[in-house]
Amino acid sequence: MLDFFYDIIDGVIACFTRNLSWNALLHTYWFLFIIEFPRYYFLELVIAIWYKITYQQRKKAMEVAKMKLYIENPLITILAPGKNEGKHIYKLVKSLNEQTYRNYEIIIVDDGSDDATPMICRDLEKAGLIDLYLRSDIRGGKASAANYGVHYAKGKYIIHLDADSSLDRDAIEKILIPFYYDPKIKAVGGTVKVRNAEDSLCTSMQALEYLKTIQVGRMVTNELGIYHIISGAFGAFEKEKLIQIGMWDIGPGLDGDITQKIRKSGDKVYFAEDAICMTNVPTTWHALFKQRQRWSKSLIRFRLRKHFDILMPHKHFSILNWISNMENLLYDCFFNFMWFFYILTLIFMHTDRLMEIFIVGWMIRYCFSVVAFGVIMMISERASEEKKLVPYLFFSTFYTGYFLRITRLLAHTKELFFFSSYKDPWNPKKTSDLAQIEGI
Amino acid sequence: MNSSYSIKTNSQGRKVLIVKGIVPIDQLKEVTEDDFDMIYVEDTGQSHYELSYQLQNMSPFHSLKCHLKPCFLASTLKNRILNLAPIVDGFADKADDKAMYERANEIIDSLALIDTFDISEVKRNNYIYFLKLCKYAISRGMHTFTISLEEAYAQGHTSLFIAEQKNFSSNMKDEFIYYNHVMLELGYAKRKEFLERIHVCPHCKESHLFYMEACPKCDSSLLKEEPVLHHFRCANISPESSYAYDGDLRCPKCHQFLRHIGVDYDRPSNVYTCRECNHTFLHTRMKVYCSSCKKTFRPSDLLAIDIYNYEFTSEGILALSSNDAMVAVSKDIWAGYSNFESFLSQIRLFSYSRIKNEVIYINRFKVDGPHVNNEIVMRIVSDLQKRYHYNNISYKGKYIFMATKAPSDMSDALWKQMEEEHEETLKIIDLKYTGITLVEQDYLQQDENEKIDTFIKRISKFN
Ligand SMILES: [Zn+2]
Ligand SMILES: [Zn+2]
Ligand SMILES: [Zn+2]
Repeated sequence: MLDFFYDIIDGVIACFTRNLSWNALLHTYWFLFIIEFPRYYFLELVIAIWYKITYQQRKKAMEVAKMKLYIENPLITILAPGKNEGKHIYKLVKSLNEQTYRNYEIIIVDDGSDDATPMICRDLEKAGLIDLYLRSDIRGGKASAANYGVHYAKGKYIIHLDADSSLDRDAIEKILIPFYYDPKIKAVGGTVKVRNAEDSLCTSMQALEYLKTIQVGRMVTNELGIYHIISGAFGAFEKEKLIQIGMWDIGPGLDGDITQKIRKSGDKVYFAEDAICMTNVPTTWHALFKQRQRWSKSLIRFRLRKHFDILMPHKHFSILNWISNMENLLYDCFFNFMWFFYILTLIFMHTDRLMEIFIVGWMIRYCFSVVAFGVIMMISERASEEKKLVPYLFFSTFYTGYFLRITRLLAHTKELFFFSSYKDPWNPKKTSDLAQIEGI
Repeated sequence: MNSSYSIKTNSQGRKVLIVKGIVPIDQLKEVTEDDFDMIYVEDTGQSHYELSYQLQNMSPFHSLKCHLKPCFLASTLKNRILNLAPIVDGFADKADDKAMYERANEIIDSLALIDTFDISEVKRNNYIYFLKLCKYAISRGMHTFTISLEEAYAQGHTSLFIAEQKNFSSNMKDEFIYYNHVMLELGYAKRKEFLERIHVCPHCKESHLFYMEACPKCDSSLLKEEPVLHHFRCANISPESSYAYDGDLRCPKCHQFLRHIGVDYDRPSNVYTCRECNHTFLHTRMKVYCSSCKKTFRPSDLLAIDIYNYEFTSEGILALSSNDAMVAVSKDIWAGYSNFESFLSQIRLFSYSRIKNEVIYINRFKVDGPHVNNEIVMRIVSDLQKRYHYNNISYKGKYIFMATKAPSDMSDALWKQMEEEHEETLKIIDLKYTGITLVEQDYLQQDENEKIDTFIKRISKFN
């Protein structure tokens, strides 16, 4: 037994001494070096440095935009659709009361709640804490609830929030500023961070992941002009534009879908990395697995099927939109399948050295993740607080490298071959059935 | 309509006054109180109003000649009598109905055991009226009062006092509720069983309320209620009117026709829009409009009243039958008191018939405190007139009025005595009612040459 471990250790040491050659490493870890490193580590590092260099210049332009915002001081609508969210609404309203931007109305849309939500909301409405409480007696799905609210919204901009999220004091202001920075911008996404990071290993890993893929990742895609998903948890839209593109369609993944629709119509979307929203994430691996399955399926359903035309030459063809979707499909779907075969070849070709390969692979990934964490520390507005997530880098190989990949792989396979998102109880059956017939 | 009357003696020797049409009995010179024992009204096709007018003419309480006498109507008048039914003893097909005579005999026999008021007894005091109602009830063997919720009565329910008059003033209603309390306190009546809790107007105590839906923002009732439609395939939800398309329903978002509820679309909710302020909401706010005082309230402002069945106790029946006891009791409580209207008319009367040098002094007090209500004001009124010999005392709202006759050139000693009396009054009230103070508002005296109308105007001018 001990011999077995010694063998592995010897192998690992050998890797760095006797056999150390870039060629050999590349040969075994080509997937890490050729596919993952350039996109997720190198590119992000370069863009982050670029972002820091141009920071002052951008800051000035944003100051001017902020002034314009406050001169116009438009009424905005804060829209929180959801089912059985009553218990969160009071906290949400209180956090909105703290906002630096004051000219807003709050619309809560209750999508067929079967708990105390109606009572709570009616009380809050009576007390004048929310401006409008809308309710569907029959559940219609998230998209319909959001559209219901838009119909009665009076604001110039609509901020879509999840009821269980809460905002930094200046988040509303920060998410509105980009509209005054560039009039072509019709929708702005905010940064979503994890509030319950300390609940479990699972939530800590997600906190790390959100920092990397949302705050940094979206900043990067935004800089490149290929930002493609405005979080449902915190996004702002110009109402007129929203109505023009027909608001939300049936989900799941409606946040990505609506971003696509805006991009397709020729307008810009923008990511405000300094508009911070905190949300609670699933605390168990099982719940997380289910959530990610749903998210991943939408990639196939929307990007590959519904919005396939973006990849084809057409009237509103845009090279940025093409790159945006291509990048998304390549990295999240195609390379994922590739990774699967890469792992298979490793297993069959190096069956005797598997443990060794695994450990060295982990070491390489660990080095990468340290770089990535450095980038996070460069960008994040609360870097000192988030430093405490460093120990969790140890697990990031397992989490991003294996857990998320396998989850995605399963979801994509199911959706590609079985259209399983149409069977997801997240949507009422009546809407899913129709959506499948219509191919949307 | 032919109006006439006749008096017939029936087989039992009772004299029946048979009335056709409208007969002002009190004004008939040739008919005296002793000429008839009971009354029967024939159906001459009179309307409800004509009938009510005739019943006022022969009211067991207000008519001098018909005082407490049994009164029957032709059976066919039953459906025209409405809310005046409580002051009718029964119905009969013809004037010589046997059952009617039997019932009349019972009443006449028990009336013989009851001391009636002197016909000339002052009508001005509500307590006399109240006691007349009690006597009426006792003579009819009505010892228990089954109170019922009835819309014909403004208060929404019958009561220990019979709602003979629909148009009780709000003051009078308070007084009658107060008398009910006094009857309970004296042990003349007791609560029998709890019946119901109803809500009445907090201002005028009436139950004729309209409940209306209103906009929670501006309180307007000009609302539009509209269903919203959910189109499944495109997740659009908007009001039905936005789907209207040439008589069909077409989705404003995806332009498809909606054909089948439950398959293509459904109606998840109804939304109100206020036409005054354009506010949108799911739940209207209720407002309550009182049809008698024309004021608007919130449902939570309404006054909750517990309704009980009452019953006379045997002591009560005895005391109320005997005039001496009754007068003593009522004097103890309410002598010298009149309601505000009578109070003013008495002052007017006095000014016409005053002795030289004598004028009326009026002291006005305000009852102050956080929990002042009508009942407290009336208790204070009752305390005041038991203690001092004012000629007349009355109240309106939170103000108490006390009138004294005195020479216009009062001596200093007399002045001093009056002032001391007032001071003591204020002190006693302060002691007896915690949290309530009696504040002397002003002191009114009719000037030598002041016209009575101007003086009365001065009295009734307060806020
Ligand atoms: Zn209104
Ligand atoms: Zn539609
Ligand atoms: Zn009223």
